[in-house]
Amino acid sequence: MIFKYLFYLLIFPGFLFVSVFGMIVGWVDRKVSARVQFRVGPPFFQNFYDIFKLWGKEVILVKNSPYFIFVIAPIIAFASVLITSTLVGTAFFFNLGIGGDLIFIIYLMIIYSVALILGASSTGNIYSSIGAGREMKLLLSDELAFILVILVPIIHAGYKIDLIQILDYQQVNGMIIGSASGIIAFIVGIICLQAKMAMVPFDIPEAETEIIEGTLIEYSGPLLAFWKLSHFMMYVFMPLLLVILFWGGISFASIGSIIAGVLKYLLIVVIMILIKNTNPRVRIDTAIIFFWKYASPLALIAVILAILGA
Amino acid sequence: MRELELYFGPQHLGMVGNFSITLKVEGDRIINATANPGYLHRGFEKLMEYRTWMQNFPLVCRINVVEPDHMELIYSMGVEKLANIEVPERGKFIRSIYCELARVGSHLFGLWAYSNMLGFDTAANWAMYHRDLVLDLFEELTGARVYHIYIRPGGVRRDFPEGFEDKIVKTLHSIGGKVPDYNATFFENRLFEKRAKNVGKITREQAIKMGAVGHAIRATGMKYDIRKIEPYAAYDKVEWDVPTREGGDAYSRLLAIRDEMIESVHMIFKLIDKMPKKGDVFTKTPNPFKWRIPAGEAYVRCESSRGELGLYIVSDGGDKPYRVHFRTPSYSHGLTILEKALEGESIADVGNIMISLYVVAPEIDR
Repeated sequence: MIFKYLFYLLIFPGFLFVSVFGMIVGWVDRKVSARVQFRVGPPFFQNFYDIFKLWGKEVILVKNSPYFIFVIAPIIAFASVLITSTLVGTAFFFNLGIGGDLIFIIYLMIIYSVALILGASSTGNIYSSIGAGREMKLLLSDELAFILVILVPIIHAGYKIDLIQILDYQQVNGMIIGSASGIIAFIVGIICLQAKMAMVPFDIPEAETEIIEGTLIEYSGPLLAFWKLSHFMMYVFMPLLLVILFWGGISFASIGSIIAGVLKYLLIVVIMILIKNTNPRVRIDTAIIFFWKYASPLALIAVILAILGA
Repeated sequence: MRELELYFGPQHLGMVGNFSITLKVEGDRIINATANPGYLHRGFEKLMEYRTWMQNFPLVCRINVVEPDHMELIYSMGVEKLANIEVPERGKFIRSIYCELARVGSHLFGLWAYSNMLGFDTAANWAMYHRDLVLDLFEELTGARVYHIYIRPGGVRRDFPEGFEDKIVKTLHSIGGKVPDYNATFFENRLFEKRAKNVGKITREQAIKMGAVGHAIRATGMKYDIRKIEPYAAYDKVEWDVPTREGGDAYSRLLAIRDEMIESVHMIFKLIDKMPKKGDVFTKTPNPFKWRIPAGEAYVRCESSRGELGLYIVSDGGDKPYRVHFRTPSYSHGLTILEKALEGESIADVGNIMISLYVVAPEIDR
């Protein structure tokens, strides 16, 4: 029994699968961006080389800073991302889950941001603390919209907070994206993912040309590798989560349905890459205004529609 | 809220070059900005007093890395005025075409810097790619990609190669065909508008008072262009317009740059049409080692891609200049206007304002 869970956590769909697949998707992102920008782009193994290289580098600690928080923050973030991806992955591939896992997932995703804020503010670097402040503001602005988005499938599935029950509901009653509330929530959800993954136009906390990587400025070596790996893993589970919540997951009944499931995932990834490549970065105040004035009310409308049954 | 001092230094990724700004910030607001030039002080002006008239060419180029061509032009114009040299007609046209090409290349570089700063790598890399096409033209014409040393007192170093005009037209057409794409993804992007509008705003009075030139003053609605006011080379031979914008913010400056680029391309087409097909491209000058220019002083100015560029040059009758002084656009843009425009803005907009003003650090430290 315990070996089964360890297998889920460490091999499939946990650490090994998600990190390797995440790096591959990260390569797709870089390659597609490069082709859009008239560049050649990196070779296939570039992300693997980068992570491997970072493991061999030394960790430079900031003098007179709380080392403990600085070191523990990327590990906590990595652990939370790992557990989230295991939960999403088991629900997606094996139709397994624990009770109330959706709440757990929301909680773990906040833990990642909190760890980033803690790690960044422990260094005492001005740029780092500006980045931490921005991350905090971004978290406060996108979180409400994201939770409202997640509420929509919960309400559709009859107030069930389990991923499997949402999947089961969709098997019987059709995909949630087919309803009016579903499609609105799905679109807002993609934008929230963009902000959660700190991709352009919401790469505000780590804007290189403004605050030089901001939150990650003091990180180096294996600790930076943890952050980078966590980010690559997000490429996998974030779109998968949307597929589960709105698009009926994947079915292994026939080859066609497997391909359909993969295509759903790829479509979300491609939309995210396209948004990233066709927009400039916004300022943090614009992002807050956008999420509180447009995205959250839109998600709220979706929730109301869902309650009304649309 | 606590006041912090933020050093926006020369190693900063959003910095334009060897230049830094010390910012006093309160939260995200900038209270006070102090520009610190001097990281690249090589003493260009002093060094030029120790080199002969012709030897100075490799040096003037280095004053503006992005666009060395107008530096060559202004120095040649200064020497010509001192030595009373006339430039042949075809040489004048070639100079104009060459300088407009340089303007297009430089503006594309500016567009790269600006959109890169906004985290918008797509438009940035497009601009860099298209600038490379312009550099290919320069390479064919002069043998060098960045520092061409093509303009010389009396004209230009050599004539256009066979079929070069067609090549220019072809390259510019292929770049111009991408303008709708640039518009759709960048200039008409709502997020860019949101990001750049009302940022780094200067009024026309402030602009005049603080010595703004080039696109910075044209973005406030003033038709100020040396090519019109005091035509040199062949700029008075063709019809063209000075594009202006109202607003005086980063958004208007960027759009002014785009309009100027398009106007330059049209101007190149007209210049190529009107250019005399045959004739000398330079007037012969004496042996550079024995060339002595009669005593006197001259002030010349031209319109570089950053704005009005001036040169004060004095000769004491020797084989070297007695004194050389440049009036560079980045000096006023990078010191007075930047400091003023940064006040009250957010930290996120430092690069936004700086690059929209087009500051090139070596121009300040010449």
